[in-house]
Amino acid sequence: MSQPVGQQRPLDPKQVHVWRVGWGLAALVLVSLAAVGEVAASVAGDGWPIPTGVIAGIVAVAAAVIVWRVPEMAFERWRYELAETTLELRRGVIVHTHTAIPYFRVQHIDITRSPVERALGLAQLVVRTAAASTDATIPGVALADADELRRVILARTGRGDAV
Amino acid sequence: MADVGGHPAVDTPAPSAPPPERRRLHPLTPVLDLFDRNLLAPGVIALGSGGLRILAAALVVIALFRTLSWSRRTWLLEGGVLRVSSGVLARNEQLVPCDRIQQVNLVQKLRHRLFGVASLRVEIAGGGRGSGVELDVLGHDDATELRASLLAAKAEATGGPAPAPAGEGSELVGDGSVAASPEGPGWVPSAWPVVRLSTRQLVIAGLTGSELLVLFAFLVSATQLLGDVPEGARASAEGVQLGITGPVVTVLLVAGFLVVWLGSAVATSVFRDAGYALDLVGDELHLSRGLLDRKEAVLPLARVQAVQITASPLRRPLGFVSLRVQSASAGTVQEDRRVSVPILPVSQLPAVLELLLPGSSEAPPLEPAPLVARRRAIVRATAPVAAAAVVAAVVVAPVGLVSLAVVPAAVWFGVLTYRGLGHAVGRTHLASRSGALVRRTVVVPLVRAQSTRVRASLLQRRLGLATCLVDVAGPGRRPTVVDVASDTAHDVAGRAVAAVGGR
Repeated sequence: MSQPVGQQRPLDPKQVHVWRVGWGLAALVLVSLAAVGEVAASVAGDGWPIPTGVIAGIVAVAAAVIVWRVPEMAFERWRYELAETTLELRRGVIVHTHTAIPYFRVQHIDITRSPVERALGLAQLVVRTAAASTDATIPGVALADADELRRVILARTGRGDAV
Repeated sequence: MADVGGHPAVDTPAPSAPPPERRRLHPLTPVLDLFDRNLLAPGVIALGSGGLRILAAALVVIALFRTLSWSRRTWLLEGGVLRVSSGVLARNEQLVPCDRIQQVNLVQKLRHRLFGVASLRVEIAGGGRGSGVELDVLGHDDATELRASLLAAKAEATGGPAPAPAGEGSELVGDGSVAASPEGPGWVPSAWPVVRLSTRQLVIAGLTGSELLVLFAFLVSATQLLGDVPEGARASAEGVQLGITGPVVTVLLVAGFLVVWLGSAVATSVFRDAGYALDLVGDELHLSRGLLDRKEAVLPLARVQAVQITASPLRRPLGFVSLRVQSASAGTVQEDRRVSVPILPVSQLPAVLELLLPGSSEAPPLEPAPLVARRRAIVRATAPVAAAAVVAAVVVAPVGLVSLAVVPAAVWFGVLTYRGLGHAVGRTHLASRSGALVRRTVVVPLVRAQSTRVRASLLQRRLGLATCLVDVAGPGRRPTVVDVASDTAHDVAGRAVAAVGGR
C-alpha cells in the first residue's frame, strides 16, 4: 500500500454504489409490497379512505432518500487503520462501532467479491480470528489493494496464535 | 504395563518399540450400535407393520452393515497424530494432531459399563460440530490408556508439563500430596479436589435448576405421541378422567403431580451428576460424574478460555450459583460434553475461580454501571410495553385499561436490569455481569481476547454511554460490558488488546 502505517484510511468511494445497489433492491421489494397491499386494500375494503398510491408513494420517497443518503453517510464514517499492534475499524451511522483486532489473533483472511463489486473492481476483506463472533469485514477495497492489504496484515501476525 | 515376554534378551540392539499398528474398535461395537436411538422408531414401525420377522430381517441387515463398517474403522496414534480411518465404500481418514487437542471425553453409558467398554471423544479447537473424532467403543482399559497417551503426546507437542496418568480420579483424590515417588514409574502429580458435590446439593440443584422443566418436556412429547393413539382409546381415557371428581381427589391429584414433578427434577439431577468430582490433576481438569451413565472429561487448564457464573433467582437467595468452563472446542455446545459445575455454594466460588483461572482473584469487586444507565435500562424496558399497553387501552377501552398495569412491572424490570450490570477489570482478568432475573457473570483472562468492539448507539451517545464486547474463542457467552461511560468502554477494550499485543 502506498499510505504509511498508522494512517486512518477511507474506503474506495465506489463502495457507495455497492451499498446503493444493495439497499435499492431491498427498497424495491418494500415499495412493491406497499403497492400490492394498497391495491388489495382498495379492491377488498369498501371503506378504505386513502387514495391508491399515496402510501406506496410515501414509502418510495422515503426509501429513495434513505438509499441515496445513508450509503454516503456510511462512507463518511468508515475508517480502517493498520495501527502498531492492531487492525482498527471505525464505522456505523446510527450505532458507532470501533473494532480492534490484534494482528497476533488473525487466523486467516478471506477476499470475497459480489457481482456488483466485481463490476466496480472492488473486493471485501474478511478477517477471521478463533472467535466466531469477531466481526471484521473491510468492504470497498480496490482489488489491486486487497491482496497487498492481506499480505501486510498477515505479515504482522508473527508466529500466529495457538488457541 | 506391557508384557515384556518370557524370552531372554537376544544379542541384538533392542528395538525401541514395536511399530504401532492400526487397531480396530472393540468387537462389541456393532452389537452396541444396535442400541442406537435412531433405530427405535423404524423398529417400532417394522414391528407394527410386519411383525417380528421383518424386524429380525432388518436387524440382521443392519448388524451386517455395522460389522462391515466396524471392520473398516481403525485408529493409530503415531508421531503425535491420531489417525482414524473409516468408510466401507468411500474411505475417510481423520487426522488429529495432538497439539490441537482441547478436551478428551470418556463416556461410559450403562450398557457400556455392562460390557466393560467406553466411548472416547477427542475435541479439537474451532471448526463445526464435526470437529474432533469419536472412538465408539473401545475396551475401558484401552480407552483410558489411549487417553493417557493422547494427553502425554499433547503435553510433549506443546512443551507443557507431563500430564497425569489419566487413572481413576478417586485414586488420586487426597490432600494434594504426591501419591508416589517422583522417580518411580507410577508417579502421579498432585491432585487437588476442586469441587465435590453431595447428594443433598444435587437435590437442591434439581429443585432449583432447569431440571424442573424436564417433566414438561416429557409431557409435550407424550402429548404428541397421544395424537397417534386411536380415537376410541383416547375417548375412554378421557371418560375415566372425567369420572373422578371431588375436592379430596383434586388435592390428591395436585399432590401426586407435585411429587412426580419435583421427583423427576431431583432424579434427573442425581442420575446425571451423582459422584460429581472435579479435580485439578497436574495441569488438567478432570471431571467425572453420573450414576448410570458415567462421564469423564479431561480439559487442560491452559485451554480454559473463560468461566461463566450463573445465578438464577431461585438459587440466589439460597446462596448457590452454577459454573460453566468455556473452551475453544465447538463440540462442547452439547451439554454432556461440557465441563460445568451444576451447583456451587457462593462461599466456595472465589477459591474455585482461582483454581480455574489463576490470578483472577486479584480482580477488584464488580463496579455498577453509571446512574444514567439506569434511565436507559428503564426506558428500554418500559417504552415498548407502554406503547403496546396504550394501544390496547385505546382500542379495547375500557377493559384494555387493565393492560396499563404492566407498565410498573416493566419499570421494575428495567431497574433489575440496571442492578444486574457490573464489570471489573483487573491487571489480568476481566469480569462482566448482566441479566435482570438470571444474572450471568463471565470472567475471562485478558490475554484470551480475540478482538474487541466498542459500540455506541445514537441514544447511548446522548448519555455518554457505550458497550464493550470482547470476543473469545469457542462457543459460549462473551464478556460484554454494557452501558458504561464511553471512556471506560474504550479503556476496557484497550486493556484487552494491550494484554494480547504484549505477547
